[in-house]
Amino acid sequence: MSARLELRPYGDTGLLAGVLGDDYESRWRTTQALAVAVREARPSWLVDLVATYDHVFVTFDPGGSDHAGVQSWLEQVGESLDEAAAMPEARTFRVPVLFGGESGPDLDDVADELDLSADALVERLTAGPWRVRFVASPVGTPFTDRTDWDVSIPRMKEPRVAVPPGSIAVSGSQSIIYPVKSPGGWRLLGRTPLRLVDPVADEFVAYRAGDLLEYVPIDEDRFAELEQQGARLDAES
Amino acid sequence: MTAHHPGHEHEPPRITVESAGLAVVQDLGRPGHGEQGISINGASDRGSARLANALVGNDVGAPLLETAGSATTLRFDADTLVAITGASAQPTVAGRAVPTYDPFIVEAGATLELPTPERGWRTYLAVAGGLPGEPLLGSVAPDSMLEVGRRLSRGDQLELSSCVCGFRHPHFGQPLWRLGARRPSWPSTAVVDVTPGPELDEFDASALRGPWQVSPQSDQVGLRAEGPTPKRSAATEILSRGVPVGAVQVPPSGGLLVLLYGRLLTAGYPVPYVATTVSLDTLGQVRPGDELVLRVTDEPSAVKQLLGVRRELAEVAERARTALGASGLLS
Repeated sequence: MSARLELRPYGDTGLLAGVLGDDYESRWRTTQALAVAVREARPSWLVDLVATYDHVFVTFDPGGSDHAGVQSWLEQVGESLDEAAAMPEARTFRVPVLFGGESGPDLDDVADELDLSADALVERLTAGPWRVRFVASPVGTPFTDRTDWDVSIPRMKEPRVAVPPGSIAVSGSQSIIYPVKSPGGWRLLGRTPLRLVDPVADEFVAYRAGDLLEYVPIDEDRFAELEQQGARLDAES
Repeated sequence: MTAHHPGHEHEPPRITVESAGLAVVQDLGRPGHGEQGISINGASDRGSARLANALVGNDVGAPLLETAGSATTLRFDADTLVAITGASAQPTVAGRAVPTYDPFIVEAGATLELPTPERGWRTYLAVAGGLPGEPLLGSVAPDSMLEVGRRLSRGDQLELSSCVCGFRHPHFGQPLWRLGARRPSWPSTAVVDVTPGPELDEFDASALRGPWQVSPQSDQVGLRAEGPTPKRSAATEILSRGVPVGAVQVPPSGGLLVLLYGRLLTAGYPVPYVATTVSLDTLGQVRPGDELVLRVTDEPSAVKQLLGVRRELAEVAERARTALGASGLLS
């Protein structure tokens, strides 16, 4: 099948490909399949690539190609895109989470805004897997959502200066986990004791676009135990 | 570069930091890790960083010193080939003026003073053979998210891989070579070339031109510029998407935010313009309070300028290799 793309220069060394299509799910699928195809083809001028919900942003070396050349190359890749073959199989990651309290200071407020009790909110959050749509900044952050989670949670008015690593956060209808200590404006609901990134491992982060994250509630004792082990988040075996 | 190691000493040549402002060991960062959400980072004025390295015969991406808006003093315990580029200031060795934008040798035991810039903001000091560092993903560049990087403080020691011991000359500290590198000036009104971004149509272009005032709240992630908030005609939300270094964002809080090399990889703010790669070097040299004026260009012109700058750098690098080689300072 072929992807319908809207291509435009984005800076003197960049090109932005918007993926057109009828629904969110198919646009995202095409976007990620296109990204996989470009990475595998590894053209010599490719500097970097960022694929999100419905855009692929490509940075290139102008010593190796130009906007017109990159554009027609991307169009060709798009025309012969085999989405099913391009997308790697989804894996499931179980993420132990201590909800509320100091680990999730915004849990009660967000529950109020959604007209839920804190317990009911946790139940909703853990009722099904969250799909990793893409991995982005800060360092290794999984951006996830869920088809049965259609809410609109506002961000903090003033972002926090330092969000602790492992924080599970929501905004709009998305959820992320902050892998490293960083500033952030998303609402914090809980925290996982597992490490998400490993700078010296072969894979910097274990998950990729398409994978599923399941939030599993744990108590403080289990949190302390896992934190002490220093384990890394890994796919279910 | 090998030059000559001191045969009679067991200790490697080193630099001792006598005083440090905001000074870090820097290189060209970590491009190509967008998939993992890792920002590029690295030198803010890459033209000056590359040039400093080229002038001492290094690879243009070798680790070097980057200082920002402050003074730093270094003592050298061996004769060392160095080059200084970037902000306008008069560095001295033992109180005597030394060249900038050309290589020179700091004599063993001498102290090099890099003063607070008069114009521009960042100074680059390249040392033949490069500064030491522990690379992560191929780079020593500081990254606050990865919690890596080396900021210098008083008493630190930097071990060098080479010195020019044995190369004696009566005019150490004097300009021995004139390699003809172009010396930029850093006026208090910086003209920033920009190409059109995806949301240009949603703004009145004349309201974006400026002048804007550079805010002291700027950092490696983004340069904040204050001024009247440009009105956006559309109210549609933008789904997060990849965003280039140089993107000129219009945040709801007002003014402009120009993304720099530490930028996060995705964003959902409207982007009417993107600063050209060459203009990013200018942005690396603006000072808080300076004025910014945006000047619209197109991609082909920006690429032509960029390739011209690269060619110029390659020519200086070639002249440096020839000159240093003729002096017996290159292997």
